[in-house]
Amino acid sequence: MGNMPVVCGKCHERRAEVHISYARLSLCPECFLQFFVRRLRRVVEDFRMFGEDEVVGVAVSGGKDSAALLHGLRQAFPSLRLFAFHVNLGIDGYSEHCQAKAEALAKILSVDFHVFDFQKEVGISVGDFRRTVFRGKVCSACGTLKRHAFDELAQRVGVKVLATGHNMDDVAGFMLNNFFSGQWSQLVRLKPVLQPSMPNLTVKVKPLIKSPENENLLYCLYADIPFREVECPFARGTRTRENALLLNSLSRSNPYFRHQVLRSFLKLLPLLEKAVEKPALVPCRNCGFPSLTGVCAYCKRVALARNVSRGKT
Amino acid sequence: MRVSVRFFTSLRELTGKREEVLEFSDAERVTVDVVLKRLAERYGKGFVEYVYDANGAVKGFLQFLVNGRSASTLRGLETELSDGDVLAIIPPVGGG
Repeated sequence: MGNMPVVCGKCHERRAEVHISYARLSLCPECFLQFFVRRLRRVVEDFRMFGEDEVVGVAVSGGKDSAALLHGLRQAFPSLRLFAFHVNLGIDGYSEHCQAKAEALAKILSVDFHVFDFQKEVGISVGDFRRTVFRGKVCSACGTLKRHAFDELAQRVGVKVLATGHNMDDVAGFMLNNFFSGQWSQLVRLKPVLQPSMPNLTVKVKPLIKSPENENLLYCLYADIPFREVECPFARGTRTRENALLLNSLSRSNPYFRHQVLRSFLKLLPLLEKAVEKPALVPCRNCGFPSLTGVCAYCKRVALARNVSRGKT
Repeated sequence: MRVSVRFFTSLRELTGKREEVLEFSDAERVTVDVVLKRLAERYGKGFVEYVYDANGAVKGFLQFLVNGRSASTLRGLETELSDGDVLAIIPPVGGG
């Protein structure tokens, strides 16, 4: 490595092991963990996501992003009352591993852990969608199920703020994708703080919106946080992954590219929000969650999966 | 010269260590590839299966950080290491 810096640019004492290319900064593990937590706290405060006297639910999948989120929030706000919410999707050889990791982390942090288990509570699993019109693309059905289940857990516990582990790469990728495909109402939903569309739902906040994916991984590794190491069997070739590849390729020559995308869209979103017509929502007649037609997307998907699990196609 | 290697997750379990310091002669050209081969000799089959594919090539989804910089942005497996450098072997991780 020759002339590369090996001493931490912050403490000037310990060996540098993490390089933050967009900040031209090399940090030792200890200073990197502090840097990560400070940024998380600043994002929460700058976007007024919640106050320290509030109760916050954290959607914890067991993956690196939400693991870094739960651990980081505990470090950034030691007195904040937190709940960890986990959704078990019933995917063979995968969901059990995810739940074990999420539960282990919650235990380490002494955070109450609540699970929504689709097989036990609803009688379906995400795999059932492979035998529906979704076929190989179960991710969009999965997203709807998870959003509903997290809000349901929040209602059970009485939590009004739900923090999710969307990282900078996720958000910048979704922003570009929605922009190019003209999905303006979806684009507006990528705000760091999303107010509920109906009063019975949670405010959704994204405290990791300025944390690149790779830094979330390094945070988990250097903080010794348990997180899942296996890939979802349904994740291959999804649009999210394609977005990540596009973003990586554009970022290669410009390490600041993701930040530029995020910064530009965060300026654009308030303007866009005024121009985008909000859909008229009515409570779903089955579950009371928002719907366009009287039956919400979640209930439609559950009905679809129940039909195939009963042998109908 | 001495090079430190950081292990995480499965490799930590396999080696029983968080970190290992390897010594090389000053005359030796030490690259990421050379360090991996030294570790493969020391830890045998488990390490080899974790790092290399069936054709003996280093698995593409592993990341190697040299003093925090991704080797893929330097000279890949041919990235040279100096005395005091830290090589971190980052496990494969999918979505979060």
